[in-house]
Amino acid sequence: MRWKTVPAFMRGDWRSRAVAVAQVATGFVALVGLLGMLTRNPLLLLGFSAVQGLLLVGLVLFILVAIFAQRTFVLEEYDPGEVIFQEGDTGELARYVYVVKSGEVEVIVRTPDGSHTAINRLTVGDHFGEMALLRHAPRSATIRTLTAVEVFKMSPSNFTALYTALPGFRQHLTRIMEERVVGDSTRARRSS
Amino acid sequence: MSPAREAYRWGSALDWSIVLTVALCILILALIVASRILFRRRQTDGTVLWLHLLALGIFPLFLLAFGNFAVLEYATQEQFCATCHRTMQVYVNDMLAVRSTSLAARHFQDRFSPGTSCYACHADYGIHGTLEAKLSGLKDVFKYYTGTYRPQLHMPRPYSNTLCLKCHDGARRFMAEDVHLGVGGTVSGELVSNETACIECHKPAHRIKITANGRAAG
Repeated sequence: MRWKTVPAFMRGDWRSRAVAVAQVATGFVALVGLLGMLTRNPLLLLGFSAVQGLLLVGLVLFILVAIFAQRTFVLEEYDPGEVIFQEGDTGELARYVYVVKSGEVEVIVRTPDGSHTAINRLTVGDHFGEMALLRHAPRSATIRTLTAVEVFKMSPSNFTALYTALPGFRQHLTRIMEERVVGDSTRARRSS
Repeated sequence: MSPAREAYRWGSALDWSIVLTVALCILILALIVASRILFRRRQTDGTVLWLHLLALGIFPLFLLAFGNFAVLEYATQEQFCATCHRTMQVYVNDMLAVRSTSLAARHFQDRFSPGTSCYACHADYGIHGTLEAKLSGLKDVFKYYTGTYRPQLHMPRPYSNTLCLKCHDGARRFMAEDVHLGVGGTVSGELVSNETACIECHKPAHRIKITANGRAAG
């Protein structure tokens, strides 16, 4: 577990690393403070006072992440077989748009008889997740990774800004969405 | 202090600051763990940023305030001074001894400053005195835990009369003694200027013995 987690952590984007460092710094101070207060050990109590500067480190890193998190792409990594999002997902997290940076994912939908079937595969350069955002609807399919995958995740506000500001981008997406809706329903009918 | 007495005394600013500090530490740790488990790989999503705001932004600010208050206030307690057993225990034992006639014991028995007897007589008046006492205490703790102190403890400088006068100046029994007074019925200039030390007449401050190897013994 550990050897697998560490490399993933090292490969993650800087915002995730910044959050992790902030959490370690703040958590360390909280832990020393907790132990100091419970044991009343003078060394721990003075240590708690001495390491409080780390709280400032955590605060500054959090502010940086909060400023930049919603403005740019976030790189996320998934192992093979992981679900990026589920069909029917709602809420803010179900409104992000993804672009595949490396690897391959499959698009899975629920058929009328309740079983699940893969109807498409997406690879480097393909995007997914925009339908739920643009239609203000729940996720229309489940996305599961077939290989180790890196995806760029775009926040809803960032995507909407691009979508409204760039007519060419809008037309391209509209065409792809229409093709997908037709293609997906055809494939779903065949597989059921 | 017995548990029963501690129970009826519970509720001071120190007690509350310790409870709040412990609660804040637990909350911060719980939120960090929760965000790592519930939002794995989504540490920069909009929803989890609210958790981060609490765990890394708001609660730590309160922790700074309550935590520092608790540490500074706890450092004034007798039990904090007594944690340096090898050096301080003999002084604390003398202070607690019912039959001792040392200044420390008499002040303690009169409940002059309940719970903070050491600090009350060894910290100068005002914020300056508090800061100086904390810095000095920090050095003492460092020396104690690194074993770099000398066995026979000594005051960093002669005990100042102002430490006595901060409480006794103006007290009826003190002012009733002519020897304490100077011209105009105010405190003698000799005492104010430390020409005559209070403990020259009111010794010993602590009744301890110094052993052959230079260590203090009760």
